[in-house]
Amino acid sequence: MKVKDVLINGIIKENPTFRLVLGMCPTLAVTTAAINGVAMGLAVTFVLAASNLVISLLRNFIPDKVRIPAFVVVIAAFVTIVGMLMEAFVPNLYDALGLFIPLIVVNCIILARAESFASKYNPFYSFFDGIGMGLGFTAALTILGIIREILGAGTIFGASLFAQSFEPAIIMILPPGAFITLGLLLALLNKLDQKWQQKQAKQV
Amino acid sequence: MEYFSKIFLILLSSILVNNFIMSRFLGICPFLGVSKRVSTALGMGAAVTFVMAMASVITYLAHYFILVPMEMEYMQTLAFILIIAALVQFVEMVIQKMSPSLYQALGVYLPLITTNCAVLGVAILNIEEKFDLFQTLVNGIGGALGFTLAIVLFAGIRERLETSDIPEPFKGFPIAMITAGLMSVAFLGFQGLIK
Amino acid sequence: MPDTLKMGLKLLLITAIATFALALTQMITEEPIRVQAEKANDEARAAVLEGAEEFRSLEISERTYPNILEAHEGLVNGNTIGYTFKTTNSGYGGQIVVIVGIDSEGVISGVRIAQHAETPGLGAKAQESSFYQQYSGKSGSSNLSNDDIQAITGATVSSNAVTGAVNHAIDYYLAELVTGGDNQ
Repeated sequence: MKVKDVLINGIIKENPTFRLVLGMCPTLAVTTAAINGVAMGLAVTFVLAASNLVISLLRNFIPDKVRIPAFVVVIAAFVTIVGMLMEAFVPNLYDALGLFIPLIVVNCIILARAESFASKYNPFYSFFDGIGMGLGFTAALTILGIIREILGAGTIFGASLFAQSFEPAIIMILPPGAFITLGLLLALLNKLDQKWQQKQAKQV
Repeated sequence: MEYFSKIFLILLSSILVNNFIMSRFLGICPFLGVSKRVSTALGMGAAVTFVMAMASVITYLAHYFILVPMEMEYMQTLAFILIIAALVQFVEMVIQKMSPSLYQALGVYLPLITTNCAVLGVAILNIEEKFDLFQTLVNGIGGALGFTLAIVLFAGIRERLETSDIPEPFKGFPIAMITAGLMSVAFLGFQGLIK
Repeated sequence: MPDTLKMGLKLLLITAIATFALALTQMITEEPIRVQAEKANDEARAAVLEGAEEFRSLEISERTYPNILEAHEGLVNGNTIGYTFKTTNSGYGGQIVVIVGIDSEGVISGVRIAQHAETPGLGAKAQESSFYQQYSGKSGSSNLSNDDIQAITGATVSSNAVTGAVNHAIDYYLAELVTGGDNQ
């Protein structure tokens, strides 16, 4: 196993959002603007890498029966730390993400990686698995945020894209827009995947 | 009188207007995971309702009688999630004893209530909104009923979807997402209920 | 059962370490968070009541006015030129905290959003000047109605919540400062 493979696995092959369909709550809720997607993604990446590292270090210490509460404690501690650091040093972003900072605790990606990766592999790989998964999540959130922001507000990272006459489709930044954009994106990826597989089959 | 109209508003708002799934995006994982059959959706809804009502009350008490006097509000997330995890374990044991068939149906999804962000979300919102104990309970139950309503309706649609002709790339999650999007448009209509 | 005991102890140990780490971070970040909040508060007060050189804090009864967090009197050379209020109201995603300035003629001199948890891209637009500028110049002689303000598209709840918070300030101003000022 190479570090590169672990990273690529998280970013592309098992992209938490597009492939594993995990961590949907923040994905749908905060992607009304691209910058929020980036911020949420990076906060999750930090928590994922740190909690994966610590859980992997403790994997022989934590008794199997109470592993879920133990994982949750570790994750909750890191989330609270991220929250406090953000409130102190980037208060604007902290305000924008609101309730979804404490809710990183219940982001299923983090617990899922703790359970399926960090509790089995050594700290080195676990750390990079966290980074890879986190970056994959960040990429997905940023893409969704960009699409929704352009269509729903006519801006990208806050900069206006169109002339005044452009009437943005507000539905895109309302809840329905989140579901529909993600649904269409998933379908598009399925289609591309299918095409790619057909091509591979032909070559063989 | 004013107090009761406020209670009614909280209930109405948490079930319909600010529906956890459709407008707050809390609890999406079980919403997508356990919504293939109406019967399992109902069971999940019942389990969530029970956990959410209990969790609301216990986290409220823990916040105001333990964390605030000790000036440890920053421990909120950690304390709440531990309480919820313990509660879920307890509910799991009870269901296992009382109804093995329901236990089998909910199977792997019961522990998932721990990571159902709706439960932690409602606990945190109760504190942020400065609700009193009774309002907290009402908000917890209302939120859970809203969750159940959405997941059962969604399961009903998905049962029908299974027999429909869906383009290949849309099968599975994509069509589920789009269905949820359309449902959420319908829920937007409740927005006008509360001024 | 020694096994259960051991499990419990291990869990307790992990929790204790986590608590310790949190307490440590809390100690480190407490000061910057407080400084940030204070700086934001000072800036907001200066923005909603332009020209004031000094702000003097007023005592408010928390019981009669639960929605008013702070009130300040703005002074120039010892003369009152207006008041600023920090008020709160329930928005869509949680509490919205608003800073309102009312000048000595009873006109709203400015409104800023100090804190909110509204939906990004929707209710969060209340922070943009195109929204909060609408309040400046409105008369504070009576409560504002929701129709006085052009709501943010798709975020009526958030818009009305801000208006409600401004009205809390107007209520206090009319009840305590307009009449009370004459008696002093």
